[in-house]
Amino acid sequence: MINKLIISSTLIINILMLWMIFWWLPIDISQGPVAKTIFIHVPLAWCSMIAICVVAISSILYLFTKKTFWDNNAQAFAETGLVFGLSALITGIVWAKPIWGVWWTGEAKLTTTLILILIYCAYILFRSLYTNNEQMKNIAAIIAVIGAIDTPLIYFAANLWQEAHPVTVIGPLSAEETSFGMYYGITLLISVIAFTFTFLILTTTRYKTIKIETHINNKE
Amino acid sequence: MDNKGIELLILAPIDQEIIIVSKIISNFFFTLLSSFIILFSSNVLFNNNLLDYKFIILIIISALGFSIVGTITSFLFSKSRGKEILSPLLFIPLVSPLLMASSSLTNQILNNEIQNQSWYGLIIGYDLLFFILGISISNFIYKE
Repeated sequence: MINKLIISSTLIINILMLWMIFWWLPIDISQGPVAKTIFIHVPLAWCSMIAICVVAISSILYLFTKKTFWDNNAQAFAETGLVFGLSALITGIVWAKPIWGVWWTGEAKLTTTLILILIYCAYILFRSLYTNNEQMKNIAAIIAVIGAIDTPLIYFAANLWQEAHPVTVIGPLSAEETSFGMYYGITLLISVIAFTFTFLILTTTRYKTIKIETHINNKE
Repeated sequence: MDNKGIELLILAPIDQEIIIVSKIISNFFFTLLSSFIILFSSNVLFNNNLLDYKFIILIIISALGFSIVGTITSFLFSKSRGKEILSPLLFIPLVSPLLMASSSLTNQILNNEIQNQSWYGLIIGYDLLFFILGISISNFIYKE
């Protein structure tokens, strides 16, 4: 019952979000219709960041408690987080071409996201290739922790790199663009809520299937 | 050829920290040796003067970082299937800050002006972080 209520409310918020983005909101003067990518790009990146934090915390807890719950949790969040992170990267690329004039720059956030996605690809690929169960879980948890620790370092390095080779940043990362009006603020809030709910529903569903898979594997 | 050397090492009655540290040291010396051979040939062939103390420090600290991360990733995947794919997939993203730092510093040293000293700090911090990480996770890797 509660599950159905959450799913239906998520659906309503998503429809509201789409209505706000495409009908309610006026078109941006400086960037044009392409500025509306922010309502998909930012929530996707936000959800992938939540996923990364949860995977790191769950992996640390798994290493110390050895409870299967934490391992399954980390796996579910890593998989949905990877999908959301990849989508954030793709929407970012689509947005960057008309605004920056290039598909890709060596900018700190882009590099960090790409590298983090590669680390989580390794994490998921490793889980599917390794045979021994107990050791696989340990090593997978270690990979997740290493990935989470490396991220701030990559961000710092990419920031320094940008200082050495400055790029013209117009658009989403400049100071003017962050101070957008009330309409944009409300729509962004609604879209973040909608995407977070969708993300949590997808992750819970994945967690349930992983739990069933583990149960079947243990019986075999 | 795989002669199961790592499994024999794990079976030996010593701590896993010692295995990791010894592998880091040996990898470090091999990397350093090849770096100096390349440095010498570069000096001869391209007429650069790279035998500068700044450059030698850079080579030593970045070779150390490479060997630490390389040892950790190869140790993690040493018993899994498809380790040939997995090791570079994890290794390259992990060393990317080191690659950025060392290539940027090399460029600055070649142009004879170091604009940003904090790259050295980044590399040393990176080495220390991964060394401590490698030692602290070594006991979790093959706990049987």
